[in-house]
Amino acid sequence: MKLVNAGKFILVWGPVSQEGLEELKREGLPVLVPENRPFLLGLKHNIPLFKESNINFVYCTDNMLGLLFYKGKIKKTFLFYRESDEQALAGICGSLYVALLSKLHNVRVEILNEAKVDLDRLDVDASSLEGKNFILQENKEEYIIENDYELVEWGLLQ
Amino acid sequence: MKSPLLFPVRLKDKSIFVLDETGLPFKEEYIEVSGLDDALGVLKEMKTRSLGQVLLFFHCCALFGDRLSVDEISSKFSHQRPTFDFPLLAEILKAQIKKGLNITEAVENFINAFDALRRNRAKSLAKILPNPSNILTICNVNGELIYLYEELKKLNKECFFYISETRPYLQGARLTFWELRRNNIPCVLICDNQIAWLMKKEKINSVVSGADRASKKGDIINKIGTYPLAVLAAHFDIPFYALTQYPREIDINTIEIEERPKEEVFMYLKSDNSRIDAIYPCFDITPNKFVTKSMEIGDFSEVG
Repeated sequence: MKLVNAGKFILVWGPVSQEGLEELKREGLPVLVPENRPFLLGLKHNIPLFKESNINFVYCTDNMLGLLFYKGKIKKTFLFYRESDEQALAGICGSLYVALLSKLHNVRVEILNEAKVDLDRLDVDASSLEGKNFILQENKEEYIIENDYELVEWGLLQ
Repeated sequence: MKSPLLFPVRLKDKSIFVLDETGLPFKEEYIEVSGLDDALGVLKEMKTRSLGQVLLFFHCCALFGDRLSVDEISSKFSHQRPTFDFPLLAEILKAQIKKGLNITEAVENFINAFDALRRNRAKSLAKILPNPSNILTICNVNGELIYLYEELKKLNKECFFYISETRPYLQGARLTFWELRRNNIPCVLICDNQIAWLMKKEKINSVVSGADRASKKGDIINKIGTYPLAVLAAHFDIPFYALTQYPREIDINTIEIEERPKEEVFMYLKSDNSRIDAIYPCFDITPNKFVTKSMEIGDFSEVG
């Protein structure tokens, strides 16, 4: 699909749950599925679900979201989170990025519980894609930042 | 300190040698270009980009200028990469020729002057940046961060780079991280979506980005992912510096944003994703209100 031909999307972030699938069906708009690096949850978890459920979707990389917000292509964001307390919720890597971009572009965020996913089987940092390394350094721990979950304060979501 | 990305395209005898950036960091190989069609193929497949495509254009004008005009070559290049301002390069070259230089001399003049301008720009930026400088960057600016690091060290300023991997072509991971690490410049590689978290944690105090196009007002078009860096930097009150070249009197929103084939979104992935629909806008637009300062390489007179 070309962006110039695209209408509005519902953006999803994090591992989509069964509850989320039902909500997305009710929305009836195409779903925008970002990669969700480093794990590639968009590709490995979310797309198979959407295919099974016959939900219309389009894939993109995480860094394309800025342009999509700028062009007014995102109607609503569904943020899937692991846990929460009085101050904040904990969502998968990139949750703050998505929550802030949504807020700064006046896009409403709906929060839903995430599906349980075994992250150990997936890429864990920016050095690899589907297990293939893209850096030459052997002691890569020095050069990579791992960050499974991020806190998003409730104030950002109101 | 050095990087082959400082001059990724070189002219030798009657051939142009283009560093194949898609093979880095694993293979440092050059593609020999002996005809205009070869050059256009290299451009289309993004074997080179940014400064590489500038050099490729100029060398093509020097080699094939007897068969096609500079404007005709510019038009063919624009057809492959519509967002980039090849007509501007044609104007620069024609201005040099008007001064009485032949094309080869004009190209040599531009290249020599341009490198000195990049060095001076790094020097100016180093003066502005804080100590320590914890710099977030995206994509690849062809070795200019090495110049920046050297200039910061001359001023006894500490420096650390956070490099956004820049999906889907991974220019941050494959090019910038590689060229900084091979020069022992302190840096880490991050996922593109980690920028907000790092800003919130106050790990970053400056953002430095290249720019493929710039308006006189200070708006830029650059690699996809630049706009969120700028918007989030503004939110966290972090300065955003854009390295711009030859800004024009243009409405940035009227520039065509190149969209690449959807298959390229899955580039470097092993799995077969050919049946998945995807979008791939190659660049995004950053309005001037998010750009703290444009570090300009200015007007035509400076290049010769």
